[in-house]
Amino acid sequence: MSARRDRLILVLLLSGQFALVSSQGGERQQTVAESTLTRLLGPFASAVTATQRAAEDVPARAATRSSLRLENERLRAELEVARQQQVELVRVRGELARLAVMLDYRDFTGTKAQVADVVYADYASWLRTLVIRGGRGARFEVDQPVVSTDGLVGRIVGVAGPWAKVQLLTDRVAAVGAQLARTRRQGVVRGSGSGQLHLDYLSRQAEIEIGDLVQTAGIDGVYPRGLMIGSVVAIGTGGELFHDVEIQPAVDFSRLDQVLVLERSEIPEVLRRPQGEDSP
Amino acid sequence: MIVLARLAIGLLIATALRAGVTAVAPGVAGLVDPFVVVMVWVAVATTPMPAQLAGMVTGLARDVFTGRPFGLGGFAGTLIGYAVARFAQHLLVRQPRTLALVFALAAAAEQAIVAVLESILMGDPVVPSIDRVAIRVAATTALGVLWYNSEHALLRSIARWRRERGGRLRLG
Repeated sequence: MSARRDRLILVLLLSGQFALVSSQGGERQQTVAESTLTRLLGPFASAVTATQRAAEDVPARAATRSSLRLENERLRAELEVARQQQVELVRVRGELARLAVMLDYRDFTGTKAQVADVVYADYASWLRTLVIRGGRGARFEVDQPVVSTDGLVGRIVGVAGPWAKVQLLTDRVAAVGAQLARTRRQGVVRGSGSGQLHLDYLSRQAEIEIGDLVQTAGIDGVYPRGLMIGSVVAIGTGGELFHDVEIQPAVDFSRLDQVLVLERSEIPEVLRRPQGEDSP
Repeated sequence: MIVLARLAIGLLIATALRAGVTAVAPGVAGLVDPFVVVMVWVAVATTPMPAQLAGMVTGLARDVFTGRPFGLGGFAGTLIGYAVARFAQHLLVRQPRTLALVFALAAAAEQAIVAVLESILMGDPVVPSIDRVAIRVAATTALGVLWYNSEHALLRSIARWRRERGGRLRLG
């Protein structure tokens, strides 16, 4: 009985499937049963395939990781070297900047310069002066301009071998031919003895503003043009003809420890003579 | 219940094998049929009634992964499941040679049934070469024997683990 039932079911199953295949007529058609089985088994097959592909990628990923680790180590080593070089470069750049400023002065003025150490400073008396000492073989002359990296300091007023006495700009009797850097208007800078400077003989028609930079004009036969003197900090009413201008020196004279002594460019003798003296 | 569990496990393993082999070596995937192995593996352990149903489901599942009309594999699987179950009722198929013979016959029968059905229903069947049929029968047979041995090794390991575990519990 059981065997007969099994055979009956077998025949039914085979007939049904035969009909199923026959109904497709040789064309591939999606049936409900096939769709259901595909939904059931498809994700599993996809997961297996994805796992398989992931497993295939493992050696490649391992190789990539290994190469990346080596590259990372190499880059870290290079970075360490670069950092050390950067520290050195920063130090050298600072040194160069300091020296470049000094060289710029020499190049800008077109004159040679001698470095001198400040060995004594007298800021108490009316005659504000410095005593400087040059290096081996240094030779100073009176009226040689003295500058620092910040600007004009003064001029040499006395020489004693490698020693020299420098009159500061802030000395009451010091005077420098000056001009406004922005407008090229010229005047004369004088010391006040109190640490400030005054710009005299600047015409009232001249345009001037607070903060204007003042530099040497190169018209006094001592200082070359373009040396920084200071900046305008106050503009008074003055007289009918001239402004009353107060200037803050560019140089902090209390912090000077080393200066440059510029070679003086002599004005040709023929130009020093009054007009008509050479003519018979 | 056991038949259903075997069928589910067998289908998942067969699908995994099929998908895995297809991903690694697509040309080799057609030379071995894990679904036939599942048909036999389930049918050997049960009676003809559930065996033919399991064979049908396995064959239909196989059809999902092939380009042939849906139902060809089911038809063949139904027949194979029934035949193997009937065979297993009369003979002891746990010996390796008998098992290999059953797997080989099932693999050959599945291809023959499909070829006949295709020739009847479609008129222009794709008849595989003898070499390809032979390779497929051999590969499927080898896979079936391996499958069976693996199952028995796993069952032995589980039984040993249970015995050891029971011994420890009694001692404790």
